[in-house]
Amino acid sequence: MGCLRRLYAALKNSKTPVVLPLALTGVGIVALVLGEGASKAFSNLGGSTIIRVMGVALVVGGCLIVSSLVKYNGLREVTGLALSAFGAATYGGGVVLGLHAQGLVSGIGYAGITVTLLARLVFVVQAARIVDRANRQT
Amino acid sequence: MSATDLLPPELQTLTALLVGAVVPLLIYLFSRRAQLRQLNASSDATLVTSATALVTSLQDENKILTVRIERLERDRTNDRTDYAAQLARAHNENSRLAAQVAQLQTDLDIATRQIADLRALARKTAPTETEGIG
Repeated sequence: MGCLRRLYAALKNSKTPVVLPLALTGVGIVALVLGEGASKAFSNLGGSTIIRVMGVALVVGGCLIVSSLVKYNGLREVTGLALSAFGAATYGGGVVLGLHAQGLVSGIGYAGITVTLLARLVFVVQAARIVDRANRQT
Repeated sequence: MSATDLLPPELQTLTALLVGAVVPLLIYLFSRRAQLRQLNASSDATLVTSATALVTSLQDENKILTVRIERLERDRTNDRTDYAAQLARAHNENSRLAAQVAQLQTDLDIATRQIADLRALARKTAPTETEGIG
């Protein structure tokens, strides 16, 4: 029960860092279960391994981020963000490579998701640096 | 299963790029784990929300410190005025006592002289008394 309440509190504070990893975890589970069948682009290319790698990265990254939402852990969140960004970039790149112009819609969307995750990562690293400096001064 | 089955040629460049980006990133993040751990203590249980929240918490801390410094400075000026007053009082007391000492000294001088006079008078009158008795 406490976990859900904390997730809700995190969601109330900020939407994007909570909703995005959860949605990407869903994408990762689908990619893990269906493999090539989850994406026309990857089945065109024959990248069943890479889509499973992407699924693992998204699921592990999403789980790390959600666990760090329940009890905050900077390193865990940042690792999860890096893995999720890796997964999202893999899907975005793969969909453009596999479907060419038809993959651009998804590709640009996933590029945006990757940038969002990386921006959050940079923000957390900078916040850690600021807090570190403040702690060292006092 | 050959290498191209695992990784089709169209995806090789992409995978190489992404793995080449994410591995150094993870190494960089792990090298900063001491700093990131400090974030855990400062943001209790919920995630770091935004730059403004961080700035607000730092400003709050700053405000608390400013208030504490002001109180200490006020205490110090109060102490200083207290000490100055105490010193002035001690000074007054000192001069008063010096005056009293001078007064008593003159009293003592007068008394000593009177005693000497009385002794001299006594010496002058004593033989006639003994003559009278004898």
